Amino acid sequence: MTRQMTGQTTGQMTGPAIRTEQLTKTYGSIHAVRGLDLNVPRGSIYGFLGRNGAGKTSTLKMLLGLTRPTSGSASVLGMDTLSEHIAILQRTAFVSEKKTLYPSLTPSELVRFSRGFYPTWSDSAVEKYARLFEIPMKQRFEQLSNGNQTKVWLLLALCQGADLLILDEPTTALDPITVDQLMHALAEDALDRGCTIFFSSHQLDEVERIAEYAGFIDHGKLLMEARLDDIKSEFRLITAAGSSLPAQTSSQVLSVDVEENFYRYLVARDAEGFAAELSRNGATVTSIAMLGLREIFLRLIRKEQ
Amino acid sequence: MYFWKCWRETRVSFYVFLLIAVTLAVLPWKIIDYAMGDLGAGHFFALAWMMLVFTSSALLSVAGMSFGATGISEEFAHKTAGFLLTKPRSIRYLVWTGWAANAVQFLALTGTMVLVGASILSWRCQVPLTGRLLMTFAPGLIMTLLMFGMTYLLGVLHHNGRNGFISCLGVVIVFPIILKSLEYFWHVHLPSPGDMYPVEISEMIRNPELIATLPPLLPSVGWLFVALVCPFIAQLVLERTEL
Repeated sequence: MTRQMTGQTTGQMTGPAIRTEQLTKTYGSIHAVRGLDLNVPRGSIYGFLGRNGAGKTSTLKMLLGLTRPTSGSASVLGMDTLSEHIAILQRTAFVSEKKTLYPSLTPSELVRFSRGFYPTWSDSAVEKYARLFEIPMKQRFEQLSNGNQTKVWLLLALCQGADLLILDEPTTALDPITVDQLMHALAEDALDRGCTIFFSSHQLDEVERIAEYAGFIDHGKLLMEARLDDIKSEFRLITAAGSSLPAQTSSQVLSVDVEENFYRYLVARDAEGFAAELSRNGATVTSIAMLGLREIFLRLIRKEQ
Repeated sequence: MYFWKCWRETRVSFYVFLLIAVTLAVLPWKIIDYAMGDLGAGHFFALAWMMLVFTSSALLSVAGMSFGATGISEEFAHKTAGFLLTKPRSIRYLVWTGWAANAVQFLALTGTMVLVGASILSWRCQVPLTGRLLMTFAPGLIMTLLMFGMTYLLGVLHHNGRNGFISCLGVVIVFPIILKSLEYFWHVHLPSPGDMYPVEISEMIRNPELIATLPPLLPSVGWLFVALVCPFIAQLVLERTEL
C-alpha cells in the first residue's frame, strides 16, 4: 500500500511522514507521553491505539504544534513541529477528538471559512462527501446531531487536499453505515492521492480493517509498533508447561504470563525457533496460536498494568 | 477568512449598536432644544456638543468592551481553538485579524455617531465644524479604544471573552477609586486616562467657549499607545499558550 509521493521538495519527500524521537510531555507531575519513538511511513494508514488517557491526544497535539514537547523531537512530513508548524499545517488535515465547531455557522459557511486557508482545497470533494455523508449543509452546526457534527469535521478534513490526515477518534458518534463509508473514503480516495493517514482510536476492529501499521500506546509509552501483515504472519501466542522457564520480555518476547507451571509467551517473530528453544529447556509446548489485534492489545496492556 | 468569520459573528451586535448610535447622535440637539430652547446659540451649541461628546463616549465604551470581548478569546470559551489553531496561520495573524475585525466595526460606529451628531449640531446652530472642535472627541475615543484593547487582552488571559468584559468593567470601576485614594491620602498622582481631558466638566458648563480646548498631547498619545499595546501583549500570551 505504500506508494511514492510526488510534487514535494526532495528533503520533504523522503523519510517517514511522522517521526518522533524520545518525545516526552509532562503536565506537572503527570507524564502524558514518555520517550515516544514513532515512525509512520509515507502513504500508509497508521492506527494509533490506546486506552482513554493513554497519551494519544497529547501526542497528536505535539505533532500539530498545539502543545510543546517537554523533551524530545518530532517531525511531520520532514518538517520540525516546533519551527515549521505553519508549513506542516498547510499540508495536514486534522480532525479533533472534541468535535466542536462554530455553533452559529452552517456547514456551507464552515466550508467557505476553511477554503481560504488551503490552496489545495477541492470543491468537487465537498460536493462528493456532502452527498455521501448526507450532511445538511444549510443547517446551523449547533442544530446538527453528534453524528452529523463529526461528519462535518471529516468533510472539512477530506476536502483540504492534505498530504497527511491526522484523525483523533474519527468515528466517534458515527453510525455503522457512515463508518463504512468513511473507511472506504480513507482507504480509497485519500490513499489514491498518496496521502498518509494517522488516526488514533480504541476501536480495534476499525484499525484491523484499514490500517497497514499499528502502534500501541499506554501510560504515554509506546508498547509496540508493527505492520499488521507482520502481526498476522509472525505474532504468535505460545503456551508451554514447565518449571523455571524464562520469564523476561525482549524485542522478540513482548509479554509473558505465568500461571503456576503454565507460561504464555507473546512472541513477535520466529515463534517456531522460540518454541524449539523452550523444548530444549525441558518445556512442553502445548500450543502455538495466531493472534488478533485485540488479543495482542489486551495482553500488552495487561503486561503494563 | 477569519476576518469574515469574526464579522459574521458580531454583525448583529454591530447593527444594534449602529441603531443606538444614530439615535443618540440626534438626541442631544432634541433634548437641549426641548428643555432649554431659549438659550443663546453659543451656549446651546456648547451644551449640546458636550452632551454629544459624553453620550458618544458612554455608548462607545460599552460597544468597545462588547467588541473586545469577541475575537480569539471566544475560540477558547467555545472550545473551537483546536480547530482554528490548526489552520495554517500564525497566532499573530489570528490575534490581529480578530482585533482588526472588531476595531473596524468599532471605528465605523464611532465615525457614524460623531459625524451624524456633529453635522446635525453644526447645521442647527450654524457653527462650522473645525478640526479643533472635532478633537474634543479624541479623549473619549482613546478611552474607549483603551477599554476595547483591555477587554480583548483580559479575554485572552481568561480564555473567555465574557470574563474579559467583566474584568474590564472591574478595572473601570476600581482603577479610579485607587487613583483617587492615592491622591487623597498620600498626594500621589499616577497617570490616568482622565489626564486626557483638558477641562473639568463643571468648568466647561460655566464657560462654553472652553469646549474647543485641545486635549493635552502627551497623555493622549501615551494612552493610545497603551490601547494598541494590549493586543500585542495578547499575541505574546497566546504564543506561549498550549492547548
